[in-house]
Amino acid sequence: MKKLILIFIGLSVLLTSCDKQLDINRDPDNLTPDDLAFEVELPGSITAVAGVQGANWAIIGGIWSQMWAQSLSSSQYRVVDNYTLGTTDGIQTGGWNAAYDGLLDIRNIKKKALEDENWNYYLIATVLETYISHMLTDWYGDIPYTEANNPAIFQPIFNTGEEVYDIMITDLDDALGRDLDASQGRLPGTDDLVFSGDMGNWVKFANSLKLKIFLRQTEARPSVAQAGITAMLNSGTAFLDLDASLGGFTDAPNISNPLYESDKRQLNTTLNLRASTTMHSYLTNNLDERLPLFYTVGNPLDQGDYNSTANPNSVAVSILSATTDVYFISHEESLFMEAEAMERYNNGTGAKALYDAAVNENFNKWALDGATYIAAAGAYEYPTGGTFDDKLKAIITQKWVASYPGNGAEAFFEQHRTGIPAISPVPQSDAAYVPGEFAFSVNGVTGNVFPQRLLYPSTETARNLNTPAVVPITTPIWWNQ
Amino acid sequence: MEVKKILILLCFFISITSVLAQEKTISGTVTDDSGALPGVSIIIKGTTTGTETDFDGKYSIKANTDDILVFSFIGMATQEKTVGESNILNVILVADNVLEEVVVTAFGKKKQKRSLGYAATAVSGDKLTEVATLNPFESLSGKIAGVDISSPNQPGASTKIILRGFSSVRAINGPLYVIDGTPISAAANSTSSGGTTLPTTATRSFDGGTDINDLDANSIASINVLKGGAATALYGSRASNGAIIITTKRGRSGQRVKVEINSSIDFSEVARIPHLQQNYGQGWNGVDYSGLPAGGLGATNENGSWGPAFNGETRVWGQIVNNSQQLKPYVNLEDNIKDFYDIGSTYTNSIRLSGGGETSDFSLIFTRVDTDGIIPTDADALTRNTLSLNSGISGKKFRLRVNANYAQTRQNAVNTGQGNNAGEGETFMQELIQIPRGISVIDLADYTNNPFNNNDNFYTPYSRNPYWVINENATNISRERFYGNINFSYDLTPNLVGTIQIGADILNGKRHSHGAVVNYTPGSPQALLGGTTNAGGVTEAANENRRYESFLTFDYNTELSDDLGLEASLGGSHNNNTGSNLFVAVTNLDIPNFYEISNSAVLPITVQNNFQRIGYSAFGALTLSYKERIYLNLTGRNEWTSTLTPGKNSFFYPSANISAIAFDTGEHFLKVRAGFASLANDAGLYRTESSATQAVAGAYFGAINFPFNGLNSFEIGRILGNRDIEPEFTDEYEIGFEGRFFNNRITADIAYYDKTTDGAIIGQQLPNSTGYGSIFGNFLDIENKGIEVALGLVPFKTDDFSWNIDYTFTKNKNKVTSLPEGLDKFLINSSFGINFYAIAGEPLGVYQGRVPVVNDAGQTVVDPNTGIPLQTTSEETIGNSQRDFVMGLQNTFKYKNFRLSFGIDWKEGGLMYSYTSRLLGFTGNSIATTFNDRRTFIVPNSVVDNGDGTFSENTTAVNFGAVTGFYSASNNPSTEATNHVIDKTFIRLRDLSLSYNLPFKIIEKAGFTNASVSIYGKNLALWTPDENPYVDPEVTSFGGNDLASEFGEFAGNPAQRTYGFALKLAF
Repeated sequence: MKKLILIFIGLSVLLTSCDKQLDINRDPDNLTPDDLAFEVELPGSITAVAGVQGANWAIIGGIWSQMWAQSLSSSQYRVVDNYTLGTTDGIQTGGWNAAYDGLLDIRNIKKKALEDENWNYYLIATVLETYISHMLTDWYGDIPYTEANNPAIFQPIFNTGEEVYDIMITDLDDALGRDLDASQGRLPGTDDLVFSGDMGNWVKFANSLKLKIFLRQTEARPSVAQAGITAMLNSGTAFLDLDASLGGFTDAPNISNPLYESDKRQLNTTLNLRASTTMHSYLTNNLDERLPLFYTVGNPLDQGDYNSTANPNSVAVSILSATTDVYFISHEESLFMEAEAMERYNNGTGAKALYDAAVNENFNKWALDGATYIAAAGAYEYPTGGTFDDKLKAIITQKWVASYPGNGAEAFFEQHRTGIPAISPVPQSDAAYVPGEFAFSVNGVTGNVFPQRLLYPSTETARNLNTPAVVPITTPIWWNQ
Repeated sequence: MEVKKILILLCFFISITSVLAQEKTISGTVTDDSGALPGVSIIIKGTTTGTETDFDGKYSIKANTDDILVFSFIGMATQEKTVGESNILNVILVADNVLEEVVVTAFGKKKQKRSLGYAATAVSGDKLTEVATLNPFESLSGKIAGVDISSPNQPGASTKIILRGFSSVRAINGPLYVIDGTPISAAANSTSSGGTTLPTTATRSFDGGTDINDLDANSIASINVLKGGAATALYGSRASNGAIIITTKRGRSGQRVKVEINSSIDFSEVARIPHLQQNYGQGWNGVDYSGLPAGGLGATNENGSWGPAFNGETRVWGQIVNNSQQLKPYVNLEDNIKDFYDIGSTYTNSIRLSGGGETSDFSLIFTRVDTDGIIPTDADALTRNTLSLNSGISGKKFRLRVNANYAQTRQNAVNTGQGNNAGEGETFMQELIQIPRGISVIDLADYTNNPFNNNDNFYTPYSRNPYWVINENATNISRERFYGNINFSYDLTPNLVGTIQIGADILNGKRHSHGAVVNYTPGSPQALLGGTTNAGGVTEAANENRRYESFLTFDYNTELSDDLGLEASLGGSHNNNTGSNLFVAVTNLDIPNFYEISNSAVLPITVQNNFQRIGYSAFGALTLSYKERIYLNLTGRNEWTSTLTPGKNSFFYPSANISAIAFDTGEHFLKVRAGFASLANDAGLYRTESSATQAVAGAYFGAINFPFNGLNSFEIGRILGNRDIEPEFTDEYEIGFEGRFFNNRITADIAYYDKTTDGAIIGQQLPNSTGYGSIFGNFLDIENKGIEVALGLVPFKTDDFSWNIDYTFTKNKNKVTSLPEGLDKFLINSSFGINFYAIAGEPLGVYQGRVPVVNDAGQTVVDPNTGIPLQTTSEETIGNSQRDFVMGLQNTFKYKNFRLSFGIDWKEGGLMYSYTSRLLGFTGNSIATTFNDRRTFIVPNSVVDNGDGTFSENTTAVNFGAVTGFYSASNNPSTEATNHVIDKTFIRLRDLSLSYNLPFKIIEKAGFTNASVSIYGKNLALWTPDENPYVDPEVTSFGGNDLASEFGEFAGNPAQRTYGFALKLAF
């Protein structure tokens, strides 16, 4: 019995010392979130924005802005092209998920930058946060914003679209209002994959983004748009004079342009995206030299006509490159926005020059010269003598063409805001069809009403009781009332 | 040979002391299933006259006619034989089964089964080897009440075992496997192409079986299945889903060296392949010609059977190669898919040496299994060598035992799922079942010499030649495994025994997988048709796992009074489990047919996964017995674990049960039992802290990885750490009775249990707007209630003939009682728009999806333009995966030396997702697609919505072109819910065996002590309901024991039917 007692004493000594030994429950293969320095967390934050914008939203946006139609010999994007995109389709639910995944790190950088008074990273994080949130709210309407990405809140409330718009402006103004020269700690460098640490360019990006947010409200809240833009113009705000983009892609798996990677490399066919009659006919009609760079040789497919019995090999296919940059706001997009702002709020001062520069800039991106197109009597000559509507039509139409291939979403939003390009009253098969006009999908199920939004993912609805009721895909976003 | 000498002396001594006298000399041989049995006591009933068998099992005794001889031996059922006319009386003793048996419980402790207050089922080793199986458990299906066992569908695939229902949505629903007192790994060797995550992707996965496949059935003496919580309270949290206690074969001390040889050979053929339509051949939309590469018509290049009805015409088909095309009659080939498979074979050879000296024993078994399944080539071949040693010596006060096992496995696994063209390519099943009716599959085999069959010219750009896939892509697994323990026990006092056991389970595994590059010759038909290329890829994975498990116990045993006995145990244990996995994969191979990581210019994807888990426990158990009629058992255990936050990492749980023998007359016996057990479980690894991982940006089908552009980056991980996780507790109440009536002619064991899990630890899925995917915590309450019935009946029994019927019935009712706050459903898995949920108030595993719109009158609402059913915008419940019941029926007939046995399983109810159904509908190969002879039709009982709350009759027929699309989810999305989630009920003739023990007289001359031959068949017949003509519902694409894998099959490989022959020899 003595032995037994001794052994038990030994055992209990062993057990009381075991708490230290048991404190090993941290994954040895990973860092902890507290270990993440700005320069470690920022590159992934930027690629996160580029991934969702450059793949999920680029494909939906490109089909809905009628650059592309779903191939007649496959079915990958039929739900997009026939407007049945629902609450569970991966192409849109994945976008929502990836956006908030990226925002988790972006907001973590922003929080730490605020604590450290590092105003450089504070501005970068705020611009990224606003940029991706702006797209989210334009796709979905009301979104979690003020309570999103908070580890203490499992069911974030949804801010209304208008609220989100106002908070984004407040947030950008807050970050722009910090004294960058007084920034503490690390200076951004190569970890800034957009501007390599040039904070002046981030200020311009922030300004162009503000301009974009204000312009979107011209119809729903004209006074807000006007006041905001006028204030910027009056204070001589500098807008982007270069591309805000992510480059550095390589033609290899998982490090190439996300649109190419997703649609061409990872899918089981590279032929899914075919030339839509809409953009194809517009370019053809204007003898636009960009046409053979956008599509392979062949006939276009009427929008949504994936049951066509044409020979698949006769239908033109989208051309995408593995090394194209992802443009957040391209130089030309910023110029087009400035041109519109000038026309709306500054008597058109310099609008033509801005427009010309924008068109040219896009031709240059394709290693072409746009001069003859914008010259007098050129196909894309700025209608200086025309009405405001004529000018707006020129600006928005060219912005649409310039959005190929990765920024169709912006063209889609702008079409809803401005009605440009116009909606064709006849099907594309009709002889009276005007090239370049948007046509309702041949297999569209929404009764001649174009899709207006994405539906909240079922995963959000099921897990977050604050999610508003899902409305039909045809319900307009608030700024399109 | 020292042992042998001692044995001979011993036996000699025994034989000279045997009693001599009386009128008539009766002689004979006593054997058991493994041969002659020495040392059997033979006594003339009512006297003290007796003898024992010699080492050849022989005896002789003088007795009178009508005397009764009583044959008894430890561990065997005592038999009485009346002396008749004959002077020869041979007896076969069988293991003492049913109620008097000894059950091995925690830490290898033997308990009389009558003392147990909970359900425990013992199965003897010979039942496991009756029908040769690679995995010792697959033959148990239907034989144990309360256990749902699914068989593997290819050599080396998983055997899924669920005891008393799913109590978790985590991958921990499998039982704990304990070999001679030491738990061993049962981890799944399956994975998705993506790395180390849960292997439940529809894209590309394989079922490489579990570590339990390393067990050699021939080395097992007995298996005890401990189903209830009380049974496992002493094994701790890892046994919260039951425990399977395996005792390996030992030598007999005092026995000369015995040699046993078991050999079997079996042949397998494909069992269920989908039942297909036999009327329509290659084509699409009713047309048999598609496009030529240049754009004209002429080549038949469809991957579906949507062509016209067969008409017998001779016609050209496939691509035009060098201006020529193949000719064939346009007729059906009924078995074109089945013909693809060949005959598989399995050779199992086992040799066992056993014996022992006076104070020692040993048993050494070597077994080799060579198997190659039904898929042509060696893509599903497996070779396993196992060596098992169980040996012991004992002294006056001590006993020392060593159990050591080595297993070496070389396995080729066949990938399933949709395939991955950006990586390791297609999977053969996906390609095979797309082949149109009427195309001769076996004629596609030669893709090197026959230009029509190579990748450039294959008849369709939409799928790949399955022979090419099976030959050029491969997954090879190799594994070295050592497990065993050393056990030392010492009698501290006559009543007090101390035992220390140190066990180890060390595993080194490797996996190589590759897929070949496919590029087309420029100008070839596939190049022009834009056929899908393959990037090619290689994966190398290595894993190392070490588990050490030690315990120290003290057992005290005393009689408190004449009537009152006491047994008590106290102990502590320590376990330490460390592992390291490294997974490296590259795609885009440069040099064809060279499968090394270096063969790519792209960055490899590397996943590193190291872990360590430590646990301690202290436990005690107490049994009080009163007059050997009433037993009270109490246990308590406290555990400390590394997977919970310090301060919350200690937890205690008790159990109590009572067993009372109502009557025991010898002829009749009845025991009633009741118990309560509390069980606790800790969390999985690394759930308490958040992590940061290398950044990956999602981009729909693609991703942007790091390093990128010369930079590295990390991001906050998707799992939010939770320092507040508490242990999860399960309370289980169980009542039951065991009865044996009319001298074992009727036996019954019935149990009812009610198991409530409170705060089960699950990953609560967070809305993605939090930026996180999930947080683990005590979020789920589940209850499982069930009844288990095992009945035995012996309708006939004479000396020469007996008929035994064993019947088991299991019904488990599972209900989710609460979900995380604010969550109305919890997603477990999903694919193709069908989601698999836990929903409060429902059983685990509810299928939901967007179903056809139906109005209040029950009519289907269709699109007025197309006539195709509209799909609801929200998800509706389709059903759930839980079975209604599982039953098994085993019949055994014995006539003299013949034994015939067969088992039938019936598993009723529950749904599964069938990707095979989906693909066959799309390609027009399924019988369902012949509805209305493929003419246009109006969806029966369909209406159109007038938009004002009224409906009018639908007059729009599904037009001819759309008949094809009607069966495809792209055109008719609600078909996912209506046609691809199917009933998984089945009835199966699981096995049948006929064995013959050669008469001793004959084999004796050849020097054998035992010889038997048997023939057997496995999976001989399968019935499934009409809505499932597609698959064997037990095929799995994933393996493992988790609920997520219950979701369904993704072009899983077909099950096999096996016919075999076995020979067992002993000398």
